Amino acid sequence: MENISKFTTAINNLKTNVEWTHNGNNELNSEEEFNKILWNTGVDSNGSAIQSTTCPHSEITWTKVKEEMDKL
Amino acid sequence: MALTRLGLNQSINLATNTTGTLAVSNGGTGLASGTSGQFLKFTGSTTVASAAAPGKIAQVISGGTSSGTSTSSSSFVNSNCTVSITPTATDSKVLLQFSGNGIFVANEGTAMAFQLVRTVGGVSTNIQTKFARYVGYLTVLSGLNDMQEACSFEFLDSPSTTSATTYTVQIQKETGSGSVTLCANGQASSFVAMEVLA
Repeated sequence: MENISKFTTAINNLKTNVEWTHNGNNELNSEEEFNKILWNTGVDSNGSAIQSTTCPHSEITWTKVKEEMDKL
Repeated sequence: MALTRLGLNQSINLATNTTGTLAVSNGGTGLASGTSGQFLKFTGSTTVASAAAPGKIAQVISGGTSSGTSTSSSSFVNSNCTVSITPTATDSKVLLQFSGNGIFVANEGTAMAFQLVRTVGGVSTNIQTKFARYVGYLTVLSGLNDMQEACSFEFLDSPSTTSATTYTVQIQKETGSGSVTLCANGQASSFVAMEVLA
């Protein structure tokens, strides 16, 4: 699970309080997996997240995330 | 008392020619009457009417997954852990048993919480109160980054439907700045639904 820890830290380094979800057992170490991430855009009446595959944070791209991960 | 002499091969009409109650010692049931839903119960010396025993299991459905979900969301998100059941009666209850494995948190002090969602006909409902939603709550200390935990819980639901019903385990990052994972490294979590008849 070292990969998911690095990914989490990389995202936090780029922008704090970003909320995301990744489904599946593949490691988050490719752009293909990065593009599967669901990004939170709100909360519904059940307290469940409203999600989108479109990243709403301009600071976060796969290239930048990969750079941060490689530093760790 | 009127007496009737029976001829050869004649019989007594039990519907019209008898009165009184046949004693148990002579083969009677000891029953005055019964009510709907009762059954006959032998006690050794007699037979009595008893209420029907409720709570029989009508069906058991196994669900769950080994497909992981990782999230940094502080609001609940769907995991891949689901189970679907179609109750046979509207007054049935559904007993849910969840056994989660591969629970992982990426940062010190990060905790994970669960809630259950019932979906019927495309409409989803959180079936736990705010108090009960924190069924699982784990933290992993720094230095134990690869430590993975397990947790389990049960919930008795009253869906009041005979339509197909899907239950989903949702997870969230409860505290901290990291992320949380269920079914890390493909570890399987089981999710069982049992219909309990009224």
